[in-house]
Amino acid sequence: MEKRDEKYEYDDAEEISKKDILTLTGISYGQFYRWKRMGLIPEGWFRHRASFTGQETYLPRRRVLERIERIMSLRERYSLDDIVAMLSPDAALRRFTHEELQAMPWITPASLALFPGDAANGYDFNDLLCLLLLEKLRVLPGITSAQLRLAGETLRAKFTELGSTCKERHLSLLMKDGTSLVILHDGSCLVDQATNLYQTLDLNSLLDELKVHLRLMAE
Amino acid sequence: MKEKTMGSVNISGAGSSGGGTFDSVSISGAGKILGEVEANEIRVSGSGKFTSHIRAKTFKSSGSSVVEGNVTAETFKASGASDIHGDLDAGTFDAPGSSKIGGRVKAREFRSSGIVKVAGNVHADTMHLTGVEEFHADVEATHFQSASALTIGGLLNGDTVDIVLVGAVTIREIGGEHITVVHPGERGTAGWLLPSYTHTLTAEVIEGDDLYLESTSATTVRGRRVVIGPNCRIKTVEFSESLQIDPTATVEQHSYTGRNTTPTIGRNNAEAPAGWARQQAQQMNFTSGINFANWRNPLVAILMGTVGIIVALFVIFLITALVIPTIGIVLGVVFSLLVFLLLAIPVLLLVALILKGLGLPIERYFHIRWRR
Repeated sequence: MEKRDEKYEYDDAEEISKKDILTLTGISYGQFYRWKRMGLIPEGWFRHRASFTGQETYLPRRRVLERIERIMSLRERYSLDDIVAMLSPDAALRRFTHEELQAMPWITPASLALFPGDAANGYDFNDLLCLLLLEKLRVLPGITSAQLRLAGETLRAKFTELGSTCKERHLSLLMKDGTSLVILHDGSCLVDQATNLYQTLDLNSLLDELKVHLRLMAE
Repeated sequence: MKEKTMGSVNISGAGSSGGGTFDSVSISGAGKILGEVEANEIRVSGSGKFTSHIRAKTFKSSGSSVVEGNVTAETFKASGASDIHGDLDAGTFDAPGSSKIGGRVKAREFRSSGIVKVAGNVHADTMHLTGVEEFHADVEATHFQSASALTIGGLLNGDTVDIVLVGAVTIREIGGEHITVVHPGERGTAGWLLPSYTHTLTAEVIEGDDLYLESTSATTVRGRRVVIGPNCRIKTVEFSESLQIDPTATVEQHSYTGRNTTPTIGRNNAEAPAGWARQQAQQMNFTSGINFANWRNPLVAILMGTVGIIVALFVIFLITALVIPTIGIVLGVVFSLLVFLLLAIPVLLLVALILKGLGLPIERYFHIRWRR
């Protein structure tokens, strides 16, 4: 397993100024501020910093561009309020049956087999999130099924405890002396020298993806 | 609201009550409610203190009320002095009195004509401000209208932002689609008390698609179609479609960020776009002079009434003095005393006008409605 940097900072390090976002994406000031007002561009992404032209606002490049692209692609079919509902961190309440899950094209039988949930009771939104997580982790090179199971179980048991008030939600997979560890945290975590940070996933963006999947399915 | 029959709490002397679920809570003396309260209606006309959260369909306070928790109300009206330590969630927020909110405010409609201070963020669909407001954090509203002494410590974000300047307005940052900032004109708001040069806007960054600014000092202005109106002082303007600069404005540097080879830059007299701000400014400019023929204006009614009484008394005194000289002298003394007392009214009014000129919403204290 390749050793990564001890300090996990996501790829937020690369920033983009608000001005550049507008020129790059072609959206208007009105749209940008409207989306910010509706919470589609989260408050926590904004960083004010002094620049040579006065004050400039910076945002995490990859995430904001991804978010804008997602809004723009959804906007053709949905109203802004719908998009807000789709992308907001509040979880949906519906339960899904095992058969329904099998019919979902974005869930493979392999992850379903790994998932600890029981088929008889059906699956809730959180379970789907765990499945999506497994989907994402499964394709990583060198990952073991024990690690996958651990990640799935941890997210399932602890995700609600993270709370939606927590702005950033991430899951990190760590290795130490051959033991796998999973931590849920709010964006940055520092680990000791002997620990290997194997992989980190942004749960909020995972959540966004899941909501879009569900929405498309409902059509 | 629960379906069971609910009692009411009525404090008309001094007293206190525990919290709970009620149909109505009414305090007309000095009352204290301990614990959380849920009620259809809460009315405070004396002095009320709530030690915890409040949930009500309507919350009306015309006295002094202190809420140490959060307030959730469909209708929130504070015409007295109210102090909320927590957050406020309201359908309509109407504050003609003096209100202080320690947390954040969420409202569909936010109206203020008194003195309002909010420490947290404000989020509303529409905002209409005509008093004195101080927002320490961000303000977000789809439609924002202000003709008030306004201070915003954070970002003002709205689809349409209409501002008529009253005194020295300070807003750290403005962002939105249509942003219009208009000076109230030579005779605007208490013309002779607040000279026209005192109406200014100071901002760091102003960004929007269509910008029109008057009497504004800003570090950076970014927009698509930008009009820098009279008496502006802008350090940097970045525009992507068109720029117009009034001859009385100074722009240190401007740059074109669009894709056309020939951007349109004009240097001619700018005029405010039609809309709420322009209309409001015109109206303020027009009404600031007192029309002495307008009897509906209580100010005029009181002034003219006083003069009328003095004249009538003088005539009575004159006639009696001519007929019976001794009574005339006594009446003369009484008359001069009365004149002295009556003169105090216009003097008080003058003081009130000066206070108004300083930006205090005296009409709320004296229940005066300016001529519209």
